[in-house]
Amino acid sequence: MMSALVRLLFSFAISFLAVATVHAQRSAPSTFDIYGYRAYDSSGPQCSYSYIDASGGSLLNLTAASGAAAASDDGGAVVNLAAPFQLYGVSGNTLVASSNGYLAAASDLSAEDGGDFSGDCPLPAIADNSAASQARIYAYHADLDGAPNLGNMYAQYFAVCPRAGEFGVAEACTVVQWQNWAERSQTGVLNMQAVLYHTTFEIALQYQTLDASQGATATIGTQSDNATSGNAYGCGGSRSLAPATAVCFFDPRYIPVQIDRIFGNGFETP
Amino acid sequence: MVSSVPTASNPVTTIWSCATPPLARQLQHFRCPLPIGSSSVGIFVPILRVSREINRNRLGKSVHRIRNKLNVSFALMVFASLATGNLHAQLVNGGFETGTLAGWTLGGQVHVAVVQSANFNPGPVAAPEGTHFAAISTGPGQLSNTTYDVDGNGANEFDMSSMQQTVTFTSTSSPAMLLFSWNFPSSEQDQPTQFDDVFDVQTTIGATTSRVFSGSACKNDGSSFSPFPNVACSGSTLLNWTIVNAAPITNTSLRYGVGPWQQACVAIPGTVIGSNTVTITVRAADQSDNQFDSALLVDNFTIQPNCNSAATTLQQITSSNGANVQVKNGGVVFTPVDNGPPLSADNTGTAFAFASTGNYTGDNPNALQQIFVYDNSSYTRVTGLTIASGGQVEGVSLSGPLVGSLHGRYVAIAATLNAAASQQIYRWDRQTSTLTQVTNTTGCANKNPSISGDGSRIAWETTCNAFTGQGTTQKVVYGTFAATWSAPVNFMSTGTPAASCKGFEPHLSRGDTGNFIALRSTCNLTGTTPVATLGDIFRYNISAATWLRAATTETLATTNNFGPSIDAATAGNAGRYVYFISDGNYFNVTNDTQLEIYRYDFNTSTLKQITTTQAGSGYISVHQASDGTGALFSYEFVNGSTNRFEDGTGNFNGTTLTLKLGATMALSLNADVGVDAGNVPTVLFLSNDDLKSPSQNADGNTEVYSARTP
Repeated sequence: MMSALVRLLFSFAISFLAVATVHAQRSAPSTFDIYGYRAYDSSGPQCSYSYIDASGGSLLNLTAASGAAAASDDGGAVVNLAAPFQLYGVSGNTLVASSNGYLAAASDLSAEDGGDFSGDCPLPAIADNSAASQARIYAYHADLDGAPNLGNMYAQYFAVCPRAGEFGVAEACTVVQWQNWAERSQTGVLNMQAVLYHTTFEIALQYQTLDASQGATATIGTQSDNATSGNAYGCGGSRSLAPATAVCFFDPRYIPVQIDRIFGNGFETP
Repeated sequence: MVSSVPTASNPVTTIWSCATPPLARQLQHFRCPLPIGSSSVGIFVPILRVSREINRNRLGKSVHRIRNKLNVSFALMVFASLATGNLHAQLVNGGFETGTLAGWTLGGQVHVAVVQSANFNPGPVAAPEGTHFAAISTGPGQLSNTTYDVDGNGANEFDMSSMQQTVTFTSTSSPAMLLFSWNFPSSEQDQPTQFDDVFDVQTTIGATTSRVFSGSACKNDGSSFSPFPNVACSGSTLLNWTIVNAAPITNTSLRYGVGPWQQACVAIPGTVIGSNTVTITVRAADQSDNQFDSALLVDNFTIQPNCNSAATTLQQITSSNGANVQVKNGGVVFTPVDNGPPLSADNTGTAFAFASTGNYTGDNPNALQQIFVYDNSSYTRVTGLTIASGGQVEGVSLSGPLVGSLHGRYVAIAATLNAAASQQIYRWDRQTSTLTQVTNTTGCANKNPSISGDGSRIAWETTCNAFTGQGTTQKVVYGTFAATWSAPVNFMSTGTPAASCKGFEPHLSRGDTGNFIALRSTCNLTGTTPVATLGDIFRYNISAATWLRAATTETLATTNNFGPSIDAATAGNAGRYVYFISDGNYFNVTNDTQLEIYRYDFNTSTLKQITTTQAGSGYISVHQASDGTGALFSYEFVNGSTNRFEDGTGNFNGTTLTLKLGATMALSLNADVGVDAGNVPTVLFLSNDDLKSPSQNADGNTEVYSARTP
């Protein structure tokens, strides 16, 4: 009798593990940080890829961080947001977009000059450009340059975002786009964008085309002010990217229903 | 009432003098300028801090980082600390605590005795270790006409006595070091030059005898007949002491009393790692006549692998290595990983705040200078204040006794957040991770903060007209925290001439609410002139709004007074004692212009010179502990004869002083003190020396060391 009970329990446990394993395999890779940002890529259902053409938006005029390099190499431009965006729960109306593939929560170029040309790994890491805001979205942080491919940077606000956010509500978004950009010492054209949602504060990083490194030398992630929290989806070659893919970062207050809310490992994903 | 040094009530001081390991030769000079406008003593510091760009030509760019990998292994540190100091076998009765000369063989006139304080009339003479020590006397009076020539100058010496011991030991270092305390009071101090009594210490291995230490009598006129160096004077006042009840040296006359004890640490030539047999011989003799007496007092002979006190627990706390190197547009930016200079201990010495480019919390791979707090075994970064590239931490001050659940809960910080920012004052609450900004100014500087023990008050130097109303003239102001920070209080407004006189080096009383501020100022804050050109030491009582000056008889305009450190006592003793450094000759001691430690008692208006050093040496910092006793402090001493820095702790009870060496090094940078639950003082300091064995700092980075001195 005892033996039969043990056998039954054992069978149940095996079945549970089998189900869990199936779900875990189905879930896309994810990362977390202290604050609670969760990152998923478009290899799973948690994050979709749907590139938006923002070239009709405002052309961002970069200002060089210093006299050492051109503005397209190490420079920044202020993006005035049409609606507030919260990064790590802190609301702001302006960002500085860097030629080096990141957005910083800063009001002007004296607070963030965009000149940080070296990706850090892991996150959080205190940024080392002269005027640096630590609160950042690292779309593709590396030593990038717009000059080799005659690239431009754009920003555009959409009252209803053409790319539906994963939370499932219609909401506005701002798109910051690096078009015909390049990573120094790499071949190929980098076309990418950061889609910032103004209601759920989701961040969708979308990669239309990639340089030859395929993101191996770039840092992709988020970081809070004072570098107290950081979430590196990929850095230091830990993950490569593919063209026509996306990486989504979800604020813990707005976790989409298709994402398991507890373990983040697929166990309770429906 | 100002007492003078050479009296019976004077402190017995201890001064270290060490042999010169090869690395010490790298430090050929030190200087202690104290210019107006500087807030701290400037010392030539050959620490490399490189952040340079080479060749701005664009050569393409790549990023190379030498990532700093922390190798802080506390288990290893503990092992290392236990592994040092192993010397098997020691001298017999090296401290004379048997009350006898057991183990020692006497020679010459055999006028040697074991004595203690009661054997000096009137005394006292505190033993540097235990209660007993040995005295080799050239008296009393004339003993013999047998002649000697100990110092080899061709002149006869008389009344020579010696003591000798042969010891076999196993050394873990080569050479092994001989440590002992010594004192050479002499009645020849005011006698003609040729009566220059001498002493020496020799070591013999096999057939080779080496003189490892020597000295001759102090002379009031600075003259010297013997080639042996003059020792420091006991004082300049005739006291007519005698040794009593200590046959055979009873009635030895010591006309100038007994001055400061000193410590020697000398290499024993020829010693090897492994087994050694060494004969140690100590001699004293009366030069040119056999009349006026001298006595060599010695104590605590030990053989050690290094100069550190045997009881000291020396630890290298931080362990930084590597650097951050970035190549951009053909330019190279090299930033070494390093610690300091800002460093401040809590009241226990187990926690400290410091500036560093290290990556102690994993979020500083780019080697930007940040503020960290070490507390027992873990590091935290002051995350509320992130310093960007080009920013700098100018100063930190850690609060003291328990507030909430933390010792050293609050950190006062002076920093520029980036290259373009103004220097501001901040306070970080470690318990709530809350940063408050105390100042918000432009075009002026706020620096050198000092925080009260409870963290509720900060005093600092400022050149901000908004705080002082005196343009850019540097003053000291303070702010008090309730729900928010008060407006800075310009309490130096009474000083004259207000428009040009300055304030420096504020130090709030620690362990309380910071009701007292000690500082250096060129202002006439008490209405008593003159004030030294470079500043005098003052104390301000905030609650009573009253000033007092550490009154002295020294009025030379060139006198350097600096580094005031006030106590944390309470009730009637609150704010009573201020320690400071000065090269003033307040007690009219011949040729005494060395940098010495002084203590001023504001309750009795009494100044004490508590150290007496030899020419070319001096104390460069003193920090009073916040234990409320007014007795314990840390010190940094530059030994001019060895070109070595010596850091340790002192205990001055108003009469006698005991100094305990923490460590000697080629370079020390900043020191602070705490007193732990066992009432043991610990000196914390920065050094780029590799002080531990086995090596822990081979790359020569500046590290934080802790030396507990029971």
